[in-house]
Amino acid sequence: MPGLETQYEAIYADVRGTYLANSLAEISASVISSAQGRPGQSISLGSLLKAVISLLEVSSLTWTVLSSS
Amino acid sequence: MPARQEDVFVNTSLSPLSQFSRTVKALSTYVRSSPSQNIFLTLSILEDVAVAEDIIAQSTLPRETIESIKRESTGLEREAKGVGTVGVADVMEDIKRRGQSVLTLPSDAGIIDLTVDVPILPPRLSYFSLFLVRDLTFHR
Repeated sequence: MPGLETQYEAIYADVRGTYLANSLAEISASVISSAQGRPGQSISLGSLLKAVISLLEVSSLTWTVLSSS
Repeated sequence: MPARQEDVFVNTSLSPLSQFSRTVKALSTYVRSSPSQNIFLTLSILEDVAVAEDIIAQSTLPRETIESIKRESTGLEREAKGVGTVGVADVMEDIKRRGQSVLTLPSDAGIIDLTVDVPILPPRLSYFSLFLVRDLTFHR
């Protein structure tokens, strides 16, 4: 069913894009705050790198699981 | 990865990768603003970038995405090291110059501080202390 697949892709893309952007925006802000020595923040560049890779990988796997179900 | 899935993946990766790129650039600008003051931050960035290479190598992400992350990471590493700009190398050179300009040792048995611009070592970065004692101080 091509129409359904397209709709599914659009929803998936929207959810995935928003989720990734929001998650990384928060982590990025914390990394910069931590670099500037603001109290209460201790998130390094390494945390951001791991977050970027992990989030992108998890979202990729989600597609595979949902598509096969 | 099937073509349509890859299209969706690539399109939805643009925003997060752009966010990552902006953060790396902001960090780079901040480090360059005062290399001596930010020396500990720069050292931690260099260590994070080295660890990231292993994580990136094990990743299952598409090649284009990996290349994009690698480009940003390598760029920041070059900036931190001071390749083509001001970085750790310049801070070290500055310390060497100060050391070379010392002609006589202090008569009060004190320490000649060659790192006046470098802040006191933060506790959470104390694992750098061995290297820093070796590289950043000059005891008589």
